[in-house]
Amino acid sequence: MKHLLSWTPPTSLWVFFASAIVWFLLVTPLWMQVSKWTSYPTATLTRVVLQNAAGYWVRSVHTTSESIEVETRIEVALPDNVKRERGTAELVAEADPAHYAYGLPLFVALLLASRSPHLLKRALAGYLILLIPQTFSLTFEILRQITVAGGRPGVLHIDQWQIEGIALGYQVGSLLLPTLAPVALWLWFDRAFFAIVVRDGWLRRDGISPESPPP
Amino acid sequence: MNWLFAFSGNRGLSPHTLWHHCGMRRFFLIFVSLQLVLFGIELTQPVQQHLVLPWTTLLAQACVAIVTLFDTHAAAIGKVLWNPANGFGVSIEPGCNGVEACIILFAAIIAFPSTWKHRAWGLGLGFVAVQLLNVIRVISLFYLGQWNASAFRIAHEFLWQGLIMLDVLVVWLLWVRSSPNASPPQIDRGDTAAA
Repeated sequence: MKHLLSWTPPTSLWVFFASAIVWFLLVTPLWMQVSKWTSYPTATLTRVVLQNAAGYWVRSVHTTSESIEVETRIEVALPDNVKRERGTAELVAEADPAHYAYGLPLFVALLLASRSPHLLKRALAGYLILLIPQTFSLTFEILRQITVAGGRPGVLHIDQWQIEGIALGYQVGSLLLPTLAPVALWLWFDRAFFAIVVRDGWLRRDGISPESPPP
Repeated sequence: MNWLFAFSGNRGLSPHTLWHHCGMRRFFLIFVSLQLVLFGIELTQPVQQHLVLPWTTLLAQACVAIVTLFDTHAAAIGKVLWNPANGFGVSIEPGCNGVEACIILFAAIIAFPSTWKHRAWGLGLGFVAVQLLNVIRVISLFYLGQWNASAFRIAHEFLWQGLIMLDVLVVWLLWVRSSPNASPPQIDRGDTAAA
């Protein structure tokens, strides 16, 4: 309760919205300077997941601060103009770990805009939690590359429904999670802000000024 | 004195209790389930073919209609907005047509307790709000891409994704706040101690 008493929330939703935009525009360029380092754990987690969940496909995984490179056992046909002796090559999938990590600056911007108490602690906790959806997105990005390049389910030794599952996972991981996860997490961390915003509206609707002294 | 102090202080209901009063745990469960269902439906071939693609084409045409008010160098071919003068074009792909943002907003509106009439208002106005900002996004990317490839990449991959989501969040918060059948819970003087 102590932190709530020392917490001054934004005066209106519009102030919050404007602050969130400004903070997001300020924090994102800063994040871009450090994203290759902040996203390195995502690459490491993705390596662990791929080696355990797709061990049949994955021969080795190399992670650097700027990319994750997965050497697979999947053989793909070479185009005629680069064919040499065998006419096939093993697929290498590559992705940027920071590509799906832009939710972090959004999360921090929301914390700043809502003037969240315990800012640093929540930002750190949020960073750690957001590694999970980021790992999900990155893992399915790699799996998508493998399934698209690998072609038929027979070549990949999986069923059609598993390919559909990878396609769905990729869509969720690329289109929904990167922005939804930070907002949902912020809403959970700053649920007091949400409650205040809602109550403010309800009180105003009922003709009670939120600023007015209690009866 | 800020009203927060009045209500969460010595006479009030804590925000944490209000959070539970709103049934937020239930909300999250319904929200996530709905989201997956709607998203799964959106990805099906018939919906893509008969709804998403025509909508995306319409979006490209709307962008051209707006751009040509001040710039004659714009045309739409299908879902591609392009400049015939220099050949630069932007293709409106999944994630850039505002459909996923609308799905998130729709799931959040349906999951939150309210009347269906109020939900219908939220869905309609929310759709307009998201799509209006999305038109601005597409047009801004069209010009950014012609100006600087790096700026285009940053705006496309990072900035606009977050800004659209902020739009969804604020529309939803405004809608929740105007909920007609919700009422503030009774103020419980003992609540503060429990918070």
